[in-house]
Amino acid sequence: MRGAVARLLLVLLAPALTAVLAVVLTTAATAAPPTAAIVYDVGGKMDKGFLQLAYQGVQEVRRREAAALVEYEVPEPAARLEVVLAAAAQHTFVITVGAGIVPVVEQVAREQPNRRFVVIDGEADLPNVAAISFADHEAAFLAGAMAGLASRSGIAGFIGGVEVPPIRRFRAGFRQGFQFTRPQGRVLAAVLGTESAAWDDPFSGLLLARQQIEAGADVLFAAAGASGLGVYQAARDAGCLAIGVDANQNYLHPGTMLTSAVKRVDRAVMVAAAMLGRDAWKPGQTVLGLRDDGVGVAFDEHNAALTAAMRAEIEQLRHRITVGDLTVASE
Amino acid sequence: MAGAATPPTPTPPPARFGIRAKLWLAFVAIAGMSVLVTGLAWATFARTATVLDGFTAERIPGVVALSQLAQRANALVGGAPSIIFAETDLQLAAESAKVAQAEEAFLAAHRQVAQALGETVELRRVGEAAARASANLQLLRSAMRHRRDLAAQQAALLEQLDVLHQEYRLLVAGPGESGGLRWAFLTEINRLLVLLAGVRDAETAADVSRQLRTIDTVLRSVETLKDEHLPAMTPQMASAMASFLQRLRGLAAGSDGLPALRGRELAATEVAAARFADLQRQAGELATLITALTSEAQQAAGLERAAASTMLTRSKVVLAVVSAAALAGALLIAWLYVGRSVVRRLSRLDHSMRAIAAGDLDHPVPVDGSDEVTAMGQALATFRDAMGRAAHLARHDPLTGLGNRMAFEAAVTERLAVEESGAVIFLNLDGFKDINDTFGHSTGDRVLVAVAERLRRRVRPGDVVARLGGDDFAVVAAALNDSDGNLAAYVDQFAQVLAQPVDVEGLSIEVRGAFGISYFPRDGRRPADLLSRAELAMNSAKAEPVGRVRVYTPRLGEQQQERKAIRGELRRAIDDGQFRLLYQPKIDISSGACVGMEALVRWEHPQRGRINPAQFIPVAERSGLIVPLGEWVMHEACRQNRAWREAGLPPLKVAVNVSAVQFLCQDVVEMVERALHGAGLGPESLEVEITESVIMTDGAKVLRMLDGLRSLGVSLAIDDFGTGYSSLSYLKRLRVTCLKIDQSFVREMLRNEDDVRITRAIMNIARDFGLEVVAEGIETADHVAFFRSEGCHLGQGYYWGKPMESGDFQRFIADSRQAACA
Repeated sequence: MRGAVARLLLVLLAPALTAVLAVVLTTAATAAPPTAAIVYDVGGKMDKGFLQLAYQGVQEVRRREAAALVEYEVPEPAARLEVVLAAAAQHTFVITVGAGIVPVVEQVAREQPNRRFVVIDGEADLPNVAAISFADHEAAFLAGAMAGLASRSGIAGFIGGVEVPPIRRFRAGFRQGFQFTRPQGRVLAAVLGTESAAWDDPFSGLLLARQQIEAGADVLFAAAGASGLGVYQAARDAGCLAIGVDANQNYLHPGTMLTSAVKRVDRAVMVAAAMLGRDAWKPGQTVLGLRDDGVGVAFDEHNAALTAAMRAEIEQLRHRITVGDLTVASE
Repeated sequence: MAGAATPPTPTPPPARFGIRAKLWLAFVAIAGMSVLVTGLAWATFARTATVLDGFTAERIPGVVALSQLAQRANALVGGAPSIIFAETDLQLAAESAKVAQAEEAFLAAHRQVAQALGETVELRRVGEAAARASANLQLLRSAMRHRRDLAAQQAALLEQLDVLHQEYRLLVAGPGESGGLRWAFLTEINRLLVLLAGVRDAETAADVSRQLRTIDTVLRSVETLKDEHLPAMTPQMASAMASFLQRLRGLAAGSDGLPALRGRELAATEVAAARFADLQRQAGELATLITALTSEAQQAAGLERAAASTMLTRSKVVLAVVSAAALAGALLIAWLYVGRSVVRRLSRLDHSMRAIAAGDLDHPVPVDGSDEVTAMGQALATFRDAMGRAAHLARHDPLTGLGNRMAFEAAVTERLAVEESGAVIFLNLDGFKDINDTFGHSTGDRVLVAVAERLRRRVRPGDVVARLGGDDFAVVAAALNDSDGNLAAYVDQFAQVLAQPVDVEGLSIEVRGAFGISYFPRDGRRPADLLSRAELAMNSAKAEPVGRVRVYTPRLGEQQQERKAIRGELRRAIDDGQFRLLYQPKIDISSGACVGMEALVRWEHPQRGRINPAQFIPVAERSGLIVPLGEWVMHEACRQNRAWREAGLPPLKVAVNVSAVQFLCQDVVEMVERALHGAGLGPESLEVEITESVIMTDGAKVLRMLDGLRSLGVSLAIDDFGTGYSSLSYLKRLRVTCLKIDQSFVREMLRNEDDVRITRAIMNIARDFGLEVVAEGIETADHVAFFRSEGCHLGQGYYWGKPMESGDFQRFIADSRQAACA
């Protein structure tokens, strides 16, 4: 008798249980974070700089479960269009990291208006493209000022990757900063190439750095992606100082690295991911500057060449820029 | 007083904190302690589980992640040789991708370690060291790519150099146009070609820069010579030479010249080698860092494990201590509440119970506390008191409160045990049975109580009065020194107090007693013997009219022996016909004629001679032999009467005494009928004499038998009328035909007016009821004259004749007839 009742109960309850399970599963499905693609431009996401910062941002986004990001990497400049198209075919929301890829994104964005794009470290003027750029010159200004304070020869070297707007901003800012603290100082400036491959050519950077060192430069600022690794090595080999870029690269050569002009690409990735949310889409230009803590110079235990006096002066400069007392030109 | 008074059921006091509560408390305490210990064990287990969980969830993944990190780091730095030995750009790109993957995997492992062990400075250093290694790898890769590119460029340039060399040979072999200087020019060009070809073999940057300097010198020299010689040449020749020299210059100078390329190639090689060496150093550094981290993690794990084990040990100790304490507590509670408070008191109670069971009825019963044991104690006390009452009852007579036979025996035994001498005084009341029969048992009981009270009051201290049953009392008197005088005075006191009439419900009943005395240890040591001897003496005293106190003497014992012998010989006497009947004539007083006779039995003992009926009739009655004896008497009397009738004697009525015992033991009617029938006599020839006691014995049965006798037609006489407590109403109901006036009245009659009055009263009663009266014991003519004058018809006595043999009686009849006729 009791067995029969139990069986009856089971029969009655089974559909109810199934329904509850279905509801739970549906809820779980709706609660899943939105997905988007993130495309790293040429250079490799382990470049110890720009792209790796973006990768860190991706990790942070994943950790916070703000969005599910699917990563794409561009192996060589020629593959940019192919990769962006592949990403746009799979996702309605595509984030790209790198200045070089922006024209390709603009092209695809025009062709596919139903897709939305966020370009990091670039400018764009399309309704379905949001652009996040950095006030690189502000960071570079502080770095240049530090170089001016640290340099013995009064000659600093600037090595850019390719002649693109961010590099121009870096160079301009660096030069202004160097000459702010070294009014008589001279900045040797060079770019490694014209192609994107120049971002990933450390040996060429090394050779160029050697040339600048031979020319008297004793503080080298490399804004050349992975190519900067060669510049830092050359500075180290020659006993000069170097300034890192994008990420805090001070640890790469403790003692040699004066500081790093930091671009918070990770933060930019998070800002981009946040645009995935409902009503959070913000097309047009977003600039992350010193005020937003989007750029800056890195202080840590590795930049041993930095003195307290130097640091105080830099902090003061930084404050002045932040409050608008001091304006750094971007060209 | 009712001896078996049921004691009121004792209601145990409400045991508020009784054994049940104590046991419950003990159980609850033990259970609580068990729960405590279990809880502690549970907590210990939970803590251990937590520690183990933490250990497995934190430390082990940390160590695993670290080992993975070490693997990944190896994979990362292990990419260097592959990069060095990559042959083509494609291979290099593939290797680079592998390195990138390896670094990503390393970073993932690094994150895992960071999650497992936390972000530490050491861990960050590992990450930075790995990043430095990775940076080195990238530089290495870049250098290697450049080196290969540069080598390829140099190969192309060397091919061009070969072409230039051939062109140079053609120039040399061509038609000589420039004379002496031409050779010098050609020599310099040749030297330049040779130098350029030699650049490929430069091993160091120094070599290259030295060669470059030489080449520059030679090139400048060639340029100078060219300027000298070119104008001298034919335009065709000069054009060819200019082209040749231009191309030669392109190979030798500039950033894309052979020396520059070779220099850059060597620089790349040098950088690669330096980076490779650096990488190896960094690999070692990384390994050291990771090893340090691993050992640190292992150390931490070991510490944690040691801490866990310490905690476990502590927990075990705590558990053991608490368990032991709980056990001790439980034992203590069990001992305090169950052991001490219950078991000890129970054992005390048990001791009391055993003592009481053994007869110590005064043993104290512990009734302390207020629980079930107390209730048991109270119950036991009640039981003990009941036992005491029962023991009292066992030794005391419930009616009078005197000691009973047991108490008597105990007193005697006690006296004898202390070697004391003393006396046993046996008292029996006279006619007590008549008091009972006449006034009822309750009156008899009151008489007994009064007697007991008087005895108790009179008895000397230390002496014991006991009621042995019925109207038998005994006094155990101590230390009288066998002095009969003292004792006599003592017994006399008893006799005096008894002589006072007992007042019961308006009646004044006179009580008399007979005393028998036996001494101990003279007359025996056993209480039963002493008692029976005193009783013997009492019986003997009873036979006396006055005094009524007798001390036991061995002769009394002999008399008793005699009675015993009589009892033994009585049966054989009946069978052997040792009995014979004597007949005493019954005379019509007015005429002097014999109208009948009373049959009286005599025992002619072969050795002892004639034995008095007073000696053997009571014995026969007590032994039941009265039945066959009475039957023999009845038959013999009837037979003799028949014989006399046949011998020609006038019809006479023979009177036969029938004992009360016979009425109790047999059907007297049937026996009489059988006797008459056997003798062939009519019932008018027989008169049955009974005593008043027969009537009193068993009313209904006896009345029925007496009625049966009367129905047969047999006459019925009451013997010794007036001596007992007869009720006159019987006379009417019994249809008695005759009353016999006891000879004691007749004997005293002439001296005592009272007896005369009694005799007259009896005769008046008989007359009123229409009964015959027989006066017994007529011895003198005065008697005869009195009865004749009073109108009494019949008489019996020595005046006319003693009891006589049948032959003598026949002669007496014949003589008296002759006298009457005369």
